Amino acid sequence: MLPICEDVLLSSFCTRKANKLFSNNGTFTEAMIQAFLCYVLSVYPQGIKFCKSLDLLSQRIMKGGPFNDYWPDSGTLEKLGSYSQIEEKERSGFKENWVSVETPVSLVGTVLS
Amino acid sequence: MFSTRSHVYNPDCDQITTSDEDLDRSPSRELAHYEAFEIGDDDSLSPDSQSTARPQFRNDSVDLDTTRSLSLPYEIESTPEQVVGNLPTVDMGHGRTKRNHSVTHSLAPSRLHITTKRARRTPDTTQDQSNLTATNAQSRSNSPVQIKNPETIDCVNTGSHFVRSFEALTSKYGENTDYDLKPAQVIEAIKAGDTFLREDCVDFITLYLEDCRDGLWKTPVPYPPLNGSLTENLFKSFHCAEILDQRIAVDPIRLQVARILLFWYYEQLCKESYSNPELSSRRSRGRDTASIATDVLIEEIFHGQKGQRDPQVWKRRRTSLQKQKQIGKRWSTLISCIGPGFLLICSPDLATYM
Repeated sequence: MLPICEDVLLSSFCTRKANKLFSNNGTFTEAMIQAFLCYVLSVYPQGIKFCKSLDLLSQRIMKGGPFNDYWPDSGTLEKLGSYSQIEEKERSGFKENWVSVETPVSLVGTVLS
Repeated sequence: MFSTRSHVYNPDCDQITTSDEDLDRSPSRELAHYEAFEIGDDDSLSPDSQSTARPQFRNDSVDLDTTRSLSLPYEIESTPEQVVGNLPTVDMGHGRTKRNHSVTHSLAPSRLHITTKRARRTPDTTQDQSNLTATNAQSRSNSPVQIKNPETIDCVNTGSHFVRSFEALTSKYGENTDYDLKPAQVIEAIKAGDTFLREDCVDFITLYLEDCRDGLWKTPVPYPPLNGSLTENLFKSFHCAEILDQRIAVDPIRLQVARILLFWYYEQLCKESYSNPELSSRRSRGRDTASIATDVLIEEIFHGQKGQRDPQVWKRRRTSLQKQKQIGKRWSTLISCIGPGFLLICSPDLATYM
């Protein structure tokens, strides 16, 4: 896959005006998405870990093929079923030193390769 | 504007006097409101409450008056039958996370009692608390949320997760930063984060996704019009309902995947257009590479179709393409950080934010 030119990304329609016009919920801006990401990555690391445990399955689904071989095992499903966001937040308490999120926009190479 | 009552609570005489007033939904009030919910217990939702009010603390003052004695009356603002919006609950049916858009919460006597007990601390403890909170007040003087109410201050001292999260996010994304988020927007981001995963993720995976093991896009087709025997028609109707029910659950994932792929391939087209001399020559002021790529894409997709030359049809298709692509970009941002697996267990409520 070809690398994405930064200036091309910048020149797309992702301006604040377009953001308001085209999102399902115009009030949730891209800056809020950045804040949201910072929050969940800092507060819910276990939840993020569960998301990542399904990455292979999701990638397979996106490619469109059968995903029987990528189905999560019973242990993963069991842990996922017992997970609770509220419990994780209460258990882990508040952690200092939140890191700002740097978001690469395109994952064509990693997901579809 | 919501019609509310302002309850003035006097700990000495253990009375609450009430007066009507309007409540504006300022961010600081929303913060206190969300905070009160976060630390609340289930008893606060008792329907047989004597007082049908939910406490909302007056915190719209710009100063933090931590030396205020608790022997003096302070005001607890509450809203009778106030609608609590966008607060997460769990649906026990499919187990999906839902938001209460119209659920009415009321304040149970037990919750009022907790408030009363907190207010009845001994003077020494109160003074220590005041000194401590005064120190905190100085360190938090730059916070956009100025808290006046003693109970909310107590939450700060006990390390309220929400308040500290709010301050941490505000320092990075709030006003006076490049992101320039208003306090209400920071609160909204926290709310979304607190319900970013669906509660029924295992049920969703095992009940719905499992039916798509042969491929997400290989969906069964509902039966054609019914023309068999009664038993046969019953079977077909039931099977058709099951197929459509499964589709309703999984289609949002299909839609998200389609939008993400659209965005990615669109960016590829932009990249190629950027290096294409013919397309580059079409660039002009107000028409950049992305704009030209959009036109080329629509020309190729809808070539020869009815309405291709109609300006209104053209504009509608262009707007639709941009909308789908924009949403795809937002999803792409999310899964770049959280991982593609997030698509499968993302909260339906969060999906509406995209």
